[in-house]
Amino acid sequence: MIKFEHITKIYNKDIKALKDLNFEVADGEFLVLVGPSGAGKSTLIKLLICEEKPTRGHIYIVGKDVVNLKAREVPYFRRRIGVVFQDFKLLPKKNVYENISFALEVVGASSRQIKKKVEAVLDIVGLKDRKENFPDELSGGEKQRVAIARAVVNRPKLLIADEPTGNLDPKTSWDIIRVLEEINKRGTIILLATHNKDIVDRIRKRVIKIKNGRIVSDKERAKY
Amino acid sequence: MINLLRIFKYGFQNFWRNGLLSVATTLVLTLTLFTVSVFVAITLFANAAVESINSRIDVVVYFNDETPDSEIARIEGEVKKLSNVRETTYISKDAALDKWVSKTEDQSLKNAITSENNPLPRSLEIKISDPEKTHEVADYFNQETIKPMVHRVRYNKEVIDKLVRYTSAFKKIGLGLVVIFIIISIFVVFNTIRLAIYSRRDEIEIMQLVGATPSYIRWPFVVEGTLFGIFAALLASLLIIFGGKYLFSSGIIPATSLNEVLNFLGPEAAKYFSGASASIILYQVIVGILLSVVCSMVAIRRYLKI
Ligand SMILES: Nc1ncnc2c1ncn2[C@@H]1O[C@H](COP(=O)(O)OP(=O)(O)OP(=O)(O)O)[C@@H](O)[C@H]1O
Ligand SMILES: [Mg+2]
Repeated sequence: MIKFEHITKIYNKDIKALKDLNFEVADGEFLVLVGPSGAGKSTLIKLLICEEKPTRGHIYIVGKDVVNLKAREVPYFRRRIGVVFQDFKLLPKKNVYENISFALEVVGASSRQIKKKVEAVLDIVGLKDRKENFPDELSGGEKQRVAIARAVVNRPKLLIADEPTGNLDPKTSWDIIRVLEEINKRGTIILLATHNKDIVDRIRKRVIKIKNGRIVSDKERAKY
Repeated sequence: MINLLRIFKYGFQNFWRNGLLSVATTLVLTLTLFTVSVFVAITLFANAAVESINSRIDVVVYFNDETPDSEIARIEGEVKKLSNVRETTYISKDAALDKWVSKTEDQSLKNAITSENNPLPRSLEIKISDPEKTHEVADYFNQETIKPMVHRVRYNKEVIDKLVRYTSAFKKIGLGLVVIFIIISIFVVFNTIRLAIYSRRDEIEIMQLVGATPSYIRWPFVVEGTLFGIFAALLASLLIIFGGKYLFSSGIIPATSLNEVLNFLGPEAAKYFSGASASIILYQVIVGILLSVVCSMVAIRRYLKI
């Protein structure tokens, strides 16, 4: 489904963020990306959604080379991927409902469809009673869930979550992971980047460990 | 269709939700339009005034009574051929008398001159197209062969000199100021709009990350820019209309002076200015919208990674 081939990313001159990465992700898989801070996890995700171009290598999604996408194809490509960003990236001037609905408006969905889908996804993340609130009125965990809701509202085939349990307490972190597992069960590939050891050890999924831009291990049902 | 509605919805919504920034941008645009309009109006007014005075400039040549009519006809023919001469009018003794009678109010003075006893000289009125080149005509009448036939040459010398000085200085300084001012204004407007867009760069980035096309992002800004333009143009027009009224009603500029100027310039000019002030609103709307939309488009390019 997704294939990374000789992926190398060098930021201006000397910063080698990724060095010759090779791996594949199968349909319906739940993949955990671990590694210390600065290992290159976020960079990998940026390459996957065309926010950055790799210095060398190719990324194929369902056989299509993402690296050579034309600029005008990128928006349509991104609509099929859901991303939960490390820093949430919520719009401070829009309330919870609007933050989620605008991802559907961009696609050109009708108002009726939008209402139905947003209500449904708010139900999944358990934020039905907070939809009128603005981001700065929400706790970290709630913001995180809004970000997830926005990422999945388009029913993407691939959901990327970059450190979604960043500053959350263990219980809230687990709630978030449950939501991800729930979404995974419905057939969405999950790519979870984290350095939360507890979570990695308990969910027992495939784990790819990156260090200094290289894959140092890739195991099924692994621990941190 | 849905997208079109959303574009307008978000254009208006952004305008309201960014309240203070929208007000600031509109005000800067208003001041720009206002000052440029005033500058342009003054320039147009002054140019029209200069034009209309130019057309009145003339040289009058009075001939000796001994000079035969045929010579005068010949001179008129030659003068007409001078490149700087626009029009000549021959005033015969009778015509001079008619003029005298119509201009003079004192009855005894009127009676002093009759067609039998008419000391008024024949003359040639010459209209000049470019007051900076009166010397061409002067040179002609200074020729040794012409001089003896001429009684006197009268130039509107003072008027001409002043006018020459004012017009050329005004044209240069006025035009320079307008150009400099317009450049500064565009710069200020551009920077204000850029600041407004800069404050929303996160929003633009996020929209791109969830798959918004560049045009979907851009159009609400066009709507917003149009709103800036319309409001600014209306405000600037109100400012000009009520500002002008205030200047006259409060006596800072006496209303009669404007009337005098307009009377002096003639009905053509008066019509021209009332027409111009009507179209100035239209121009402001167009320029305002164009300026803010173009600035928005240029400013947003930086944040659209495409
Ligand atoms: N835009 C950039 N320009 C230059 N260097 C960058 C840029 N983005 C990331 N880097 C560098 O690339 C390396 C990998 O960064 P990346 O953000 O991918 O790490 P990460 O694994 O996500 O870390 P964390 O767990 O802290 O989020 C770091 O050394 C970082 O400084
Ligand atoms: Mg990161």
